[in-house]
Amino acid sequence: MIKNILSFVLALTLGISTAFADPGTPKQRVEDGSARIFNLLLQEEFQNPETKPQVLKQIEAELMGFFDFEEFSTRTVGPKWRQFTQDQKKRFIEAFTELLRNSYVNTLNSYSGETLAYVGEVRSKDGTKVEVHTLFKGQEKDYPVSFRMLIKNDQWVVYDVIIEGISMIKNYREQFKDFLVKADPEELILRIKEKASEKKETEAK
Amino acid sequence: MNKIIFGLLIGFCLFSGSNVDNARARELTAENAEAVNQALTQNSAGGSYADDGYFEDDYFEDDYSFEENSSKDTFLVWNKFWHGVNDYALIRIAKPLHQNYSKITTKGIRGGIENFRNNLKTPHRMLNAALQGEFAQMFIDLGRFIINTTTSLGFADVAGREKTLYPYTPDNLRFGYTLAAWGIPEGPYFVIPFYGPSTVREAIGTGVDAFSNVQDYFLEWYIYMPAETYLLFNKIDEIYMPYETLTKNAIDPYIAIKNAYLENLAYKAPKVSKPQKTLSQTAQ
Repeated sequence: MIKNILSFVLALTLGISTAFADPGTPKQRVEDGSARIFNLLLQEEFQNPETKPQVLKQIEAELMGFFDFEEFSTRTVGPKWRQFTQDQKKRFIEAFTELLRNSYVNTLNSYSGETLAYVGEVRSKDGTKVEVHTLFKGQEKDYPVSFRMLIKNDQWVVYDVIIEGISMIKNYREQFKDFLVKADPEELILRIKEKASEKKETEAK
Repeated sequence: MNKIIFGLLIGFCLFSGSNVDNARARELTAENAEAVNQALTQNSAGGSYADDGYFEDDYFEDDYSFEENSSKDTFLVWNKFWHGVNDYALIRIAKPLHQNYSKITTKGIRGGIENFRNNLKTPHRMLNAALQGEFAQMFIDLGRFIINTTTSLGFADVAGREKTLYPYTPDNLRFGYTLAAWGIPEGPYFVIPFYGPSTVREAIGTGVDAFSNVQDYFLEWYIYMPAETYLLFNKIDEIYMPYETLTKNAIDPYIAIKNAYLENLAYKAPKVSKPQKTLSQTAQ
């Protein structure tokens, strides 16, 4: 009986703690998130071609939690997002995630011990959005990298990455905006899918 | 005799190449980041609150009025044409050439040659520093020139080993930045043939800067033109690598490069503090 009560209490506290999880600070989130990914990249298993896919999966899981690809998608499309059907939205997110995935896989392969140093942050007036400023300590040069974050499901997630003043979201939005003037959402999804697979082919060569 | 001098030069490059340069670049960005952060965190210890509109540009609910300026492309036809030509020249010609060049040179040699090129640019940096009223930067530059030239003919950035008391920002010492500091708007996007993305203001700046290459006045054109092209080519990997990262995943490479160039230019623009502006306005 006592055992049952104990497990019940335990389950309850666990439940509560997850339901009211403290999102922590954006600074913690960036530091923890980057440290976990960098640690995985430094593992010997990542260098070994046999175990590499497993580590890559772990890294991807980390990245998926750290970056919010749905936010990426809605913000890159902009107001036209409302004209997308539910199905188109879903397929767009899938295609765009795939395109971005291809771009960072290459970056992961060339990782060689770089670190991310917290520099400071700026908050929006209502405190719902934060821009965390960091310095990516590269091999030859340091790059200022900023993460724009908001709270989603009790966690700080990244919705834009700004490298040397160049916002990833804005860069894609400019491209998509121009494309959507002449074409409809369906064509945009197709174009992104094409680009993603084209990239894969060149890498396989 | 010539052989000895050449050997010495190569020796210098190998000895002191890019490592020194890197250390300096590292410090510089760290300083800049610190300065930016200080400016941002003036209000409170743990960060600050953004101005109105700071985060607005990522609201997808917004209309696009804020982006109208960046979308204007006065020279669209010209730009697209030269973007294509430059893309071809960079990726199809310069990149494979440089990949072979990298095989026969070391990082140290390339770094040393880059230091030499930077040292040659001292007169134009000093001129721009003076025009911007940045006299501290001007004297830092003069000091660097004297130290680097006397120790290694400019092949090693010996002066870069010491941290300057006043933040030294060589990237800002160009005529385009000087014009920006004088309050001249950047103007429409403009692609310079065989050079790359620019704006009208920056293109004028690049042109004026070309006139402040002292060596051009006492060397024949058939000597300095190829020499300067070579010096530029020496570090072309620093251009094509980020260029490829940006364009490979873009569905429209032209817009991707244009946006990245303009955003980066705005990021590096002189920070005009508002109170100062109103002060000078009332003084007038």
